[in-house]
Amino acid sequence: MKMNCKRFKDLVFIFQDGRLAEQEKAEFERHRRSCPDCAGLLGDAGRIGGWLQDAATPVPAPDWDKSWRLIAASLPPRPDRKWRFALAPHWALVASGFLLFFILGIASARLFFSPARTETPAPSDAPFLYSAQDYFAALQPVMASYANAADSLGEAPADQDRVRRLLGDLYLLKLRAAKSRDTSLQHLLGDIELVLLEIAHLDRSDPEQVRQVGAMIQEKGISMKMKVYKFEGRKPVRI
Amino acid sequence: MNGNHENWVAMAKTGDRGAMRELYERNRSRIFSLAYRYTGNTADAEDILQDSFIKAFASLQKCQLDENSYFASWLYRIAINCSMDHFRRRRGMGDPLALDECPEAAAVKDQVTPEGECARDEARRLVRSSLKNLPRRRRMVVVLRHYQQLKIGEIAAAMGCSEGSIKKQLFQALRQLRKELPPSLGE
Repeated sequence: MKMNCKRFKDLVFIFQDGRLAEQEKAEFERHRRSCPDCAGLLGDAGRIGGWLQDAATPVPAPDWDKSWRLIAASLPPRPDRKWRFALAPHWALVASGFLLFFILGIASARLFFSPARTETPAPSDAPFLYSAQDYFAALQPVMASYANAADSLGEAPADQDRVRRLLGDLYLLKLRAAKSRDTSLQHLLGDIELVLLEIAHLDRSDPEQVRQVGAMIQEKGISMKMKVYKFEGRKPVRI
Repeated sequence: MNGNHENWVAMAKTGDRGAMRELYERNRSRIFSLAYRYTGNTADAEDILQDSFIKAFASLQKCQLDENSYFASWLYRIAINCSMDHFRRRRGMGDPLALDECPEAAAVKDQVTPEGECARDEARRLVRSSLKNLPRRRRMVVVLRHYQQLKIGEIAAAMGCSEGSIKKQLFQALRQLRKELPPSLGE
């Protein structure tokens, strides 16, 4: 920038601070030599600064302890330790509030908007059934015991309480199967339901009724279908 | 040194009196010097010193002093404001005690014996009187520049305004002082 009187005036105090770059300093000096007004301004600034310095008296030492006593007496009492958290910056308190609100919001949403959970009754053998395959694995021995009874192999059929629990699990599995649109599974579960209902209501002391149920299982090919379903690698229907 | 300083600030924030005393002892000379140069007498300077520290400690818990914001410069800004406020308050109660009437100034005066010193003392008295006549903000800029030896940028930061504004104040002060003081002063 070209040095003129306005620029010179702008740089007077920067020059006194010794903060001018070499080139700018040279231009400043050149202008000072050529302009009596600017030279006078710089001279006045230096001269008046010198007078002010000269007029200064030494700073006295006050009674520091007395001043401290007065300061200490005016300070608020030290805050109680249990209320120290109130000294946290305001933004931290606001952020904590937002975080708490966010967490409570998520918890409420999960509570009110998630699908209602049904307590799954304990299956026959395992504490929980997780898929159709698991269910079939639990059902297989029951079906086998009645099918064998039909062949008169003499094995005692499964007890009816176990069958009723399997029937409870079956209803849950049917609900999930209806959503999965797996028709073969839906048919299989329908057959199983018929068989389990028969077992649940039969008189176990009557060998004829037991044989009839066994024949029904063989006729519908339930055991075979369950094995086939197990190995077809379908996406498991979870309950 | 700086790390310790920050620790004292953190401790003082919790209300630790020992830490506050430490901060007072580290900064008192600088604050008192500013106040004394501005007011020209010990009593007012002591008042400003006390006011500045009381205000600083009272609002220390509310302010955000991190690594880049040092207690000393923050306190200095408080002291500048306290000094200018003090001057405004004192205006209604008459002029502050003139420097020449201070005991310490009188002691300096008593030492003067040679003839030439009388003229020089008169010149100094005139300079101090002219300084006292400057408006309070302009006077503060002159004090910070010529007695506290701050650069233009430092004064601007301490007073919370632009460098251009500080230069303007200094030129106005120079013009006023040049008008009030004879060119032959000090010759």
